[in-house]
Amino acid sequence: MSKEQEEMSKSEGSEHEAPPFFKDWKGLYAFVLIFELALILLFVLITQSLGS
Amino acid sequence: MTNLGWVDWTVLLGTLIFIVAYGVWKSRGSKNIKGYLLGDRSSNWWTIGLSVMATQASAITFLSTPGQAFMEGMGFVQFYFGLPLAMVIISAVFIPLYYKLKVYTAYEFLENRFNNKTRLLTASLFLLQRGLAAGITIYAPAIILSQIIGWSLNFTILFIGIMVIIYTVSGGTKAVSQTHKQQMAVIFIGMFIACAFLVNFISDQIGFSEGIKLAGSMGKMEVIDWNFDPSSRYNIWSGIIGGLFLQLSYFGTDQSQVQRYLGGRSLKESRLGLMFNALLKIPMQFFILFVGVLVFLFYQFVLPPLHFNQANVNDVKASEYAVEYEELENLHRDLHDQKRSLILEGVRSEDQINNLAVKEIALMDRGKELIKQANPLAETQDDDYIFITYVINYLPIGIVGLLLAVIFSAAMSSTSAELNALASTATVDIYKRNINQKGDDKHYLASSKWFTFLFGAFAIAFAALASLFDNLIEAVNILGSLFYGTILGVFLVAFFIKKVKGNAVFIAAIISQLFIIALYTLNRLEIIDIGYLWYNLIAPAMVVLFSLIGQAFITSENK
Repeated sequence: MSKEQEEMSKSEGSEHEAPPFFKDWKGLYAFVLIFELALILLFVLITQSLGS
Repeated sequence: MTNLGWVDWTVLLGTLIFIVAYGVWKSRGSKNIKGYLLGDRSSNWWTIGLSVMATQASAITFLSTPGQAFMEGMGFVQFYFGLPLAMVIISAVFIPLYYKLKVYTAYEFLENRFNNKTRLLTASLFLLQRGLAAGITIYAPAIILSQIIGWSLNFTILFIGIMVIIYTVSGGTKAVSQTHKQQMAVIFIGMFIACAFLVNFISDQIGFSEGIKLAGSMGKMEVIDWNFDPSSRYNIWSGIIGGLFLQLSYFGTDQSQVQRYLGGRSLKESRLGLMFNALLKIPMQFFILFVGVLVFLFYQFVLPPLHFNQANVNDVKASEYAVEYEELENLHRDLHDQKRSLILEGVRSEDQINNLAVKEIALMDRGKELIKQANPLAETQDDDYIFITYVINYLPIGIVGLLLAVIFSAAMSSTSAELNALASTATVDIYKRNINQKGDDKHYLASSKWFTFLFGAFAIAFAALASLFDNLIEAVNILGSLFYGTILGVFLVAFFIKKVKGNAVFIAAIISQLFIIALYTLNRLEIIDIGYLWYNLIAPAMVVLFSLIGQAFITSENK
């Protein structure tokens, strides 16, 4: 197998490689979106408690 | 102009020279085009994440954002609410396809999916908007920095431009990514130190939590605006919906960002780099805005200038309006003293303090009118000078040099990514594909270096000429936002609507672009009122709609 082919198989094969700490990419994506939702909730709280 | 001491000069120049030298040294020996344009696909996830953040964070981010919070509060953070979802979509859909086709540029993918003319159209739109924007990325901070440190505008432009050209031409993508790490480190350290000084000062005056309550009572802590108003710039709806499409367009189709994650060691590293950005971007912007609120609190206890742009103040004081302006300054001082006394006495009544604040703003506005009368060409918007005025006047020796290095680093980080992306697109999508297909790898490597140099020289020349034309920055920014949506529309059709072919999407892109230009013209003529973020939703929707109609028409014609 040439170096080029090795690289190709490496990058294509890694499509199914899971991210650290999560079973699959969907888990990480859900975590990112929940984190954002938590941030927005925090901002809502800040606006309600400190807003003029 | 401020007289910087030798310590500040040493910190500033030492930091910048170190970054340039590090970039050249770490990226030495790129022998082929893959190494030069993709950094040998060797970046790990955190290098990609920091590089993506550094590319987006221009000098204006650090000059303008705290000033925006000072004037209008924290609402600007809503602009980034669409970003995490955009990152997820790009990670799940865009990057796997870019990797599968092993493309050098985002536009190369469009030839695989459609045809060469669609690739050429989108690459040309990118070169036009980003080519002009690169000049502005240097010019906008150079105006402010030149006034602050006392260099001429042209020398400041040349200084930033040449520093960037040295390492970007020499090392390509690897140099850009490596220097982005150092630049982000300088930026984070500098901003944290500025924040720590402000928190310490406010705690000494009335206590930190009382300070935050005070900022809240003066309208600076309203982060979320629920009102659905298409004409308002920042609310939660325009941030999530308009912001999603803008960020999809910027991170998914703008080569200056695509190139950052295409240099990843693997698909996994590229995806993780984007998730890193998805998690950190909103907190980072919140933090920068919060620094602006702290500067606002600082100036409740320390008399701020009536106008933050000292060059304008010098002009008005040298004019026939000098006496009137000085009277305004005296009134401002009295008003500020009253307000400070009330705050220190523990008065938090909105009416009492806010009445004085409203009067203070009226005085500032009157000051701007006098500046305009003294010099009709003067730019009286002084938000961008607020943070740097605080840094220069109130931070200790050495830290001032570091904070100036933050601003220079941010200018260099975004410019280098732009030059790198412009060179890649010009080489791969235009020169190699359409002009000379017979060159060898060495030839295209040399071409990439020449394109990087030429775009750098063009950016410097454009920045130097920019001061001769009124409203040029605004014009270039508008130009960029007018094209983004159409380019995104083409990519969305490519990714999600398989039955649409090249001719249909090409015609749809042209029609949509003309429609957006017409919409913008109606906005300018005040016939309609639509915030610019919504163009990023309208344009892709138009491309998708016209592509489907066009494809149906072409298909029935063929039958």
